Amino acid sequence: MLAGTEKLDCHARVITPENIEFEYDLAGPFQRLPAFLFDVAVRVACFLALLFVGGMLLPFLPLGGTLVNVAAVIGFFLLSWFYGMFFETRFNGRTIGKMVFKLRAISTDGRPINASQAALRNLLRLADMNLLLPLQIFSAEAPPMYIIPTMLVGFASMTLTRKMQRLGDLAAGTMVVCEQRRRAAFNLQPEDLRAYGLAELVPVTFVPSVTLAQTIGLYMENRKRLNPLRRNDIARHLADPLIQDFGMLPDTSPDLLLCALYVRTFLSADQQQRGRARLRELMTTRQPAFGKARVTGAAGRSASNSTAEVVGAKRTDEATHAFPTRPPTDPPPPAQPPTDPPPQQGLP
Amino acid sequence: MPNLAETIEKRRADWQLLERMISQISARNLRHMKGDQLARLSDLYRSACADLAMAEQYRLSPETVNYLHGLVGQAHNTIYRSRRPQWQTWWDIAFRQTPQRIFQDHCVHICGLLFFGVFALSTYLAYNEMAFPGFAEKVLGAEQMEMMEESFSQVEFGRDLGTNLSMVAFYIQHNTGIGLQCFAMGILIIPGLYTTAFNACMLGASFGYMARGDTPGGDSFLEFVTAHGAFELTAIALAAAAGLRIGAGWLFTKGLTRIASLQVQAREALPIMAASGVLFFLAALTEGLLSPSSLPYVFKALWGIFSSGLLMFYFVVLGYPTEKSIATRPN
Repeated sequence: MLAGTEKLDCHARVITPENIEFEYDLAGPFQRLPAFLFDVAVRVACFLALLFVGGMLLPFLPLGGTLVNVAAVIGFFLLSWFYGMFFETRFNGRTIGKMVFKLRAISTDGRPINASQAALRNLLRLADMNLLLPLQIFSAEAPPMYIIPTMLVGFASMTLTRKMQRLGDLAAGTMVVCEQRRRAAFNLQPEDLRAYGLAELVPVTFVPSVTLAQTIGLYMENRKRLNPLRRNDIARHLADPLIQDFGMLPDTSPDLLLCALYVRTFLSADQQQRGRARLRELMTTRQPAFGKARVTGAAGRSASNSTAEVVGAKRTDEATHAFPTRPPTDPPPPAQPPTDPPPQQGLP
Repeated sequence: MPNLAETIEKRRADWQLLERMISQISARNLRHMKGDQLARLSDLYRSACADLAMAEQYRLSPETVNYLHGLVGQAHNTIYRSRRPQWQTWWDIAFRQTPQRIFQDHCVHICGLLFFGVFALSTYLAYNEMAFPGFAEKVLGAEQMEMMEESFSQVEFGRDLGTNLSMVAFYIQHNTGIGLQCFAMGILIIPGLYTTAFNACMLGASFGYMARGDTPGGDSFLEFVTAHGAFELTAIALAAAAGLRIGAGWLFTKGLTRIASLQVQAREALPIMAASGVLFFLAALTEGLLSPSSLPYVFKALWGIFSSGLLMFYFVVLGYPTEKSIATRPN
């Protein structure tokens, strides 16, 4: 990654023994709380199961109730203090709750946690559960036992540390990361097929710089969340100098141009070919009425049933037909002075 | 930019194979894999690492880079697994390192003084009713005093085995739980010291009150606590000391950052807590089996003396600093 592109927070970078730096998504308090509650439920269920099995075996055991009693008390003790420690040691930093919610406790240096780290972070959980409130907040007659956890100490500690660690994590040198499998999308397909057509208009000699390629990729990832007006507003800063540079019509949609550049940069020749074929097919079946082009296709709509107008694939036609009018939502592009910097360097 | 998409396309098959292998392994165990599979896995992992490092060069799109971060992270967690405790070294840790550490540990000294000091003071205040009237009543509360009197007046030495075993389990659960609470609260320093002093005060007041001589059940109480007292009181003090050691990491950093110092101290505190846990276990066995038994008092007293001697041997004889341990001591 380039210097200065590190994400702001919720990420931890670690260096592997292979000397590769990669980043983890950190899990915050509100991702960890459900896993914790799930673990509590599992422990209660285990205890009840123990009682149930004990009750079933009661007539067959020597000493009868005593053994069941002993097993229940010892089981309660082990479950309440050593459950997390056992699972995190045995299953590489995961309890059952963490498995369900796809979390994992690891060392802050990225290595897996060892037994003593697992012991420390689980034994010290009690300190993180402070402040403890007395039972009397529910009824005045309850015994004065301070057993209701508010978890304020752990919450404050997570808020104040960069790696969102509670006190137990700080002492053990661990952090909790998300293991959500990221979507294996390698490239996004622009839903507006005209991007494929426009991609052909981009001069063959044009090679985007690294930063421009990254910016375009970032833009494609995020444009789904923007409404068409905002897309053009944002894309204009990048697209307008390029439109002038490429000698395209000044009312070419900035959003569409960035989509076209994405197609050119990130899609293989094969994919581009297929995209153009689909565009041509759409054009022949739909009998387009040029001039009513809705340049910015709605997000999420698949290309085949899009009402977006299509452009001709031939370069000669496109200059005159592809973008003859500006869509009504598109404000006129500002005039570009001839001294504009070259597009590759015109990045924010 | 010609070959970028083709590069990804070529590498993608490898990435997906790695992804499939990881998902299979997390279901089974790494150890059950065949050698060639393992070699293939580490091959794929290393090349995915290299791809991630080269992502900049390749000008991969951000979503591909994100995907690679996730993939490398998952593979990393699968291949580098948590180490099990290493049992080969436990003898050395248990009988050389830990006693020596405890002997020199200032937190143990402080907590020992605090716990046994408050305990002795509270015992005296509760015992001497003439000079300090009402101390025991204020600390223990009339209700608990009555309960203690009642239970120890009725105590019959020589219970059946079933009751004894149940009580052993209860003492393990209850007393070790209190010790672990003292330990966990230690990281917050003040609550840790408060819990220690509070426990010492309560226990001392009970001892003093029951030892007055005219308290009903007093004799049974003293007979009852003789055998396990040494183990149990030492265990509480040790647990508190282990907690305070972690808390001290915040205050005395010895040139490290606060967090690093906390981590070093926490690692040092674990063996102390483990020693305390063993003592709690021994105390529970004694308290459940020997203390309420019908054996003559002399045996219980002998066991009390023996257990104190055992503690002395562990903490002083094994713990006394040798030349070697002084030489290797980091500070």
